[in-house]
Amino acid sequence: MWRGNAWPATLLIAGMVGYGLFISLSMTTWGDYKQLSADPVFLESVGISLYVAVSSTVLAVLIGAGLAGFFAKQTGWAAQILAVPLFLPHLGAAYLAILYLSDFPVIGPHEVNQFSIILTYLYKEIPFVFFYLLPVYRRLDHRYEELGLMLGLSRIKRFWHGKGVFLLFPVLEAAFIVFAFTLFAYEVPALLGVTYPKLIGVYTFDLYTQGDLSRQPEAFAISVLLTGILFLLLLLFTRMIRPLTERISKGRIE
Amino acid sequence: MIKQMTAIAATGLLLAGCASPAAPVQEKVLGSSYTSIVKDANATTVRMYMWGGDEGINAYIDEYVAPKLKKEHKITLKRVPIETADLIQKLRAEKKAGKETGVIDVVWINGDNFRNAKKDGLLYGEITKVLPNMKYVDPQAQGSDSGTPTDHLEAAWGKVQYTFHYDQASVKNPPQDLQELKSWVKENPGKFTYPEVTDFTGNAFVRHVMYGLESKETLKDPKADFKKTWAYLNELKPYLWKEGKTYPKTLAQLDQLYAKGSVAFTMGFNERRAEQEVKSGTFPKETRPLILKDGSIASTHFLSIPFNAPNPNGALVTINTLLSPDAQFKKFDGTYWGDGTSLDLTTVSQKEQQAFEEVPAAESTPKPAAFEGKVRAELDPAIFDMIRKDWPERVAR
Repeated sequence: MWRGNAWPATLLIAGMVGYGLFISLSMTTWGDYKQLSADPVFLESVGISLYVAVSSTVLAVLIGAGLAGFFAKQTGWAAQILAVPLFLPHLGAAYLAILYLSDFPVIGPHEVNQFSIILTYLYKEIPFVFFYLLPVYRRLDHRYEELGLMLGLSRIKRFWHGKGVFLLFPVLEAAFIVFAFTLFAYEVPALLGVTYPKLIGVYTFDLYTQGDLSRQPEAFAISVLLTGILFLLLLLFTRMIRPLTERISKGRIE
Repeated sequence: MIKQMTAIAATGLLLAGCASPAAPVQEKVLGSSYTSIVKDANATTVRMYMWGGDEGINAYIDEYVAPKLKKEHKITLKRVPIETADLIQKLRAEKKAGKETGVIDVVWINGDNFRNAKKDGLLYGEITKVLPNMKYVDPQAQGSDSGTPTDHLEAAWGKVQYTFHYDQASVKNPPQDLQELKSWVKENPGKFTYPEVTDFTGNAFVRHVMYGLESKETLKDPKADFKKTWAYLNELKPYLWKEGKTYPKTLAQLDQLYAKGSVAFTMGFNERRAEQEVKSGTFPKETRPLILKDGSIASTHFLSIPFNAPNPNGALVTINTLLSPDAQFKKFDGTYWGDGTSLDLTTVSQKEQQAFEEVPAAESTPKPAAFEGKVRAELDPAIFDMIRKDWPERVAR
């Protein structure tokens, strides 16, 4: 694992996010948040965005982790094919969806079920999850599971103590990254989404740029809300789940 | 670690220090004669930021205007494609950050973008007062921009009419007014749609419905309830392309649907915009124009200079060149763009006037008589905003 100095990068990113959050907060008043909470167009947009982000995340993590588990035991170059989508930006993937999915009835672009958006995200995020988890799978020590077998543990307990505790946090990390990205992204839903309801990234951008710009504060309020919620999730992860898995896995061989 | 961080910070400062040389002082530029402006503009680079969604328009700038400026003034013209609303955002951010020398020299602008730019002081100044070719420009087109007085901040570049285009091969008896259009749409489900109202053209479609259905008093009042308009659009909705569950996001997308034959109509500001598309084989061969009896909104589009243009002299020379009768003629004839001229043709020479009159109109272009009694003025920009706010809730939802 990389053990370089992460501080400069951390400071830079934290500084940018912190400054952005500060500016956004300073642009909004309490009234903007109240207005948002009563705006049916916004609420519907949140609903549809959660649907897209949750389904993309769950599917990408399940499939990506499954593939990583399978390929961890293999040697050879077959897994490298999965790297191909990583070289294509999301925008490119969305255009691929327009090119190849347009003639299909249910999964084509601009359908209310948003399947084309979810498929595009899967195409991009499964490889991401896969390469994120592959080294974790490769470092798993199968002797824990054998020990469990010897001690007569049930299947579920064997899995949890042999693999689960080591996998849980990396899987959640990957899921968090995918979720945060798919929730607020712009390009893919802008190209493949429907006119109504719009995904939250597109809706926010419209509020920010349209007309006499009088609705800009609402756009800032949305970004403050989303950033806040993601921070809370992050805090939950690091405060509650990480100590748990670290305590259980303490003493493992590095 | 401290050392590394200091190094990063130092690099940052260094990069920030490498700003471009300061632009010339505004009072000095606008206070000098055009001759000295031309001298200062010689052999400079001008960056023109403009909407880039039309190949014909892009080709006009790249293949005709840029070589012309190079030849006449040794000016290098660089065209940068951008959504106009994004451009206003960029200028607003620069104004807020106190960035006195920006990167944009010329902008193509009109409507609510101009209103926003004027309100926030994002434009250079009274530029039209120093441009000699303003003497050709039609004062009526120049006076106001969708109801906002131009106050010399921008120069009228072109004047167009909103026009529908249809494929005669699939539409035998084109509808003549909004009621007939509704019947046609109901009889031919899936073959008509309009861009969503965040798009310039889609917003204008809704304004045309307003002109056809609402009373004069309602049209003047952005706070009125445009019940008839929303009812009409909702009646159309189930019969639109994709059953009205989604709309093309931009005019470019609607044009693609029309080119593929998915829909039978397209629309847009500029009565001659289909000429080039038909010639290049993008649009169906039998594309024909249609002006509804309910009226066609006239729209003028303008050129201006941002407050922090790095090369205002070059920008002024570029705009003056774009207003010259020969550049306007090349823009008007069907070679690249086919855009209506902003010039008052009685002020140009006899020969030039004749050239304009002799440009053959393609079959996709309406005859001047088609507009008789149908030309409508642009509505208040506040109505644009109202449509953006209400349409998603009252129609799209």
